[in-house]
Amino acid sequence: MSTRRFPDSVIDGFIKYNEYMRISFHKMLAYRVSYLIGVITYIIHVSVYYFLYKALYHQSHTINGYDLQQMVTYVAIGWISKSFYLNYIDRELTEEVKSGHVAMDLIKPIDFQLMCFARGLGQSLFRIVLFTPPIIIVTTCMFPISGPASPVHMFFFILSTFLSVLIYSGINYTIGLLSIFFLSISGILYSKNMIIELLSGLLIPLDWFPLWFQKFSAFLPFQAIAFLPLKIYLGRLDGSGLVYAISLQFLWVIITMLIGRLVWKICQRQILIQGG
Amino acid sequence: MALIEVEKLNKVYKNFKRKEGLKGALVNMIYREYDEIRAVDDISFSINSGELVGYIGPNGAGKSTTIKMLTGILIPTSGRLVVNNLIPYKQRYEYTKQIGVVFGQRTQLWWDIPVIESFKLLRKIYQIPKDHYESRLSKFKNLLDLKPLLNIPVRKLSLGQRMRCDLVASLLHNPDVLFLDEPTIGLDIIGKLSIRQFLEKINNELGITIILTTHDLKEIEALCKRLITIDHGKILYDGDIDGLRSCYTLNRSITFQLIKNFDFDNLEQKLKFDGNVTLERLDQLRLKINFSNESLNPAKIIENVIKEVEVHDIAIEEPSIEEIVGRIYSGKKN
Ligand SMILES: Nc1ncnc2c1ncn2[C@@H]1O[C@H](COP(=O)(O)OP(=O)(O)OP(=O)(O)O)[C@@H](O)[C@H]1O
Ligand SMILES: [Mg+2]
Repeated sequence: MSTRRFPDSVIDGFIKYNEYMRISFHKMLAYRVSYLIGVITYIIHVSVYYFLYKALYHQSHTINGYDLQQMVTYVAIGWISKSFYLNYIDRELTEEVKSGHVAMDLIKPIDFQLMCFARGLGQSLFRIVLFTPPIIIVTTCMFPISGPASPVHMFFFILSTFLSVLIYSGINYTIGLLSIFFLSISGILYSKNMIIELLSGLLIPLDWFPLWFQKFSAFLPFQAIAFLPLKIYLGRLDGSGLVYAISLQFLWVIITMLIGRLVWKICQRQILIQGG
Repeated sequence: MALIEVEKLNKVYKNFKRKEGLKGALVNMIYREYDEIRAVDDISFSINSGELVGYIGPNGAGKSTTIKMLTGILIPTSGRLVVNNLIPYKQRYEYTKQIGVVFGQRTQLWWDIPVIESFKLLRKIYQIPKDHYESRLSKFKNLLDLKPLLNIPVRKLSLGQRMRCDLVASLLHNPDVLFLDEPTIGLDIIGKLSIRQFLEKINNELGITIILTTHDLKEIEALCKRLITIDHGKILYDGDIDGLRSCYTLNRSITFQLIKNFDFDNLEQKLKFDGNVTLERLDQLRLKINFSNESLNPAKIIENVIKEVEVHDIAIEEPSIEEIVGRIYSGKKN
């Protein structure tokens, strides 16, 4: 062959996925209306929970070890971090498979999973720059929210939330791949969102649940998305507990990524490029 | 060894049979029946480096399915498929660096960003050194007149403009093989012509092997030396275009424009040919002779006619490539 090939280097590899991140960022910029609606939706959610918990705390000062201020902080910070870790790679993947556009990714020298992750990170980046700040400002003005337990806790909270992004992406990617088996998976995606909201502890702290349920959810990746980072923020984890939580998150990052790769291997055999 | 080797390649799609009505839906939940569609049926061919091959067939023949397997995005049900010593679907990552792909129905460019940005992105994805990238881009830019398009987002381009950009996108990383699935679908004559000339040029000058599907047979005739025809997943013909002509019994005709009014019956009596030949009077001055290419050659007929009458002009009608291919599609040998 006359042609010269160019070897991959790590840095070039990184740049490649960085580009996918950038594109996703720009895509988000294009949807200004849904951006505004998104900000308002988040604030409504936090408000609803605020009034709900306020009513709940009418009779007792603390419930299951949380006082009202902690609870409000839990909810607000929960939604603020959700505004960061959320992404739509599952939906995008489904649409790509349905339309057959996935072919256009497969003809390029890219790792499909890393590409999807990069897209997810691009969306997160967009949010941290433009979406999360207004939510932080409005919610802190409206509700009594405490700061992080300590600077150390703040640091680990940020690290932990970043790991949430990866775990969330790992789950989203794997679920999105199911569209290769079932052409319509909107039902699955809907229940996935409900399950993540519940089992991640976003709606109700997981230690409010019966013991058996807590034990059950401790074995699942979802609690690592919201419950663990929030416990760190509130200062409910220290020392070895903190190290354990972060290590557990790391473990889930790796496991969800590996499962994603495995499912992709199986899917590849099934994938039918629609159209043409 | 050939660049592309395909041996007993098969692709079977399983289509889930949906039963109608509520009862059917319930039955479907438990018991699923499948229809099997053999889109590619035991095909074999090999293509050498530098060839420009037309891959044609009627709708649903299995062309796109073949191209999808050749480009590594669809896994064959069975059979052997090797391109450039790689197995496309197994070594997809490595393989994609060596091929360029254009699906006329879609774009590999990013919808919302200017074309030039998409190109820059591709440079990073394929890790093309800057100087290579720039020299190739400036060359293609001139050949396809892309300059006015580069700063426009893809969604604002016309079909023909987009296709030209997609074509360049598929070539930036200097592939050995270019796969094109209906690259001129929906294009006007000028658009088709410019793509045709471009393909000819890159095939000749850069030695890029090209496999192209199309429904435009004129294009095939002008561009490809070799033709593979497929229908119902099976190869019907594989060879050069002239060979295709001689392969079939075809009706040709010669029309003579005469100087004087002629006596048709008399002439018919005098002109006696072997084989299947019919004479036809078109009008006072025109005589048409229909014959098949098996029995006679035109020179013989002309020679005989000139002996009998004075001729002003002669027109020989060749069967069009459409006619021949139409014959292949409809399965008639004669
Ligand atoms: N994803 C799919 N699932 C099931 N059957 C399919 C699928 N894709 C193609 N087929 C079937 O396989 C056969 C070949 O299709 P293919 O797209 O390869 O045809 P084609 O030669 O490209 O036709 P056209 O000229 O219309 O583009 C058709 O009968 C089609 O219905
Ligand atoms: Mg097709």
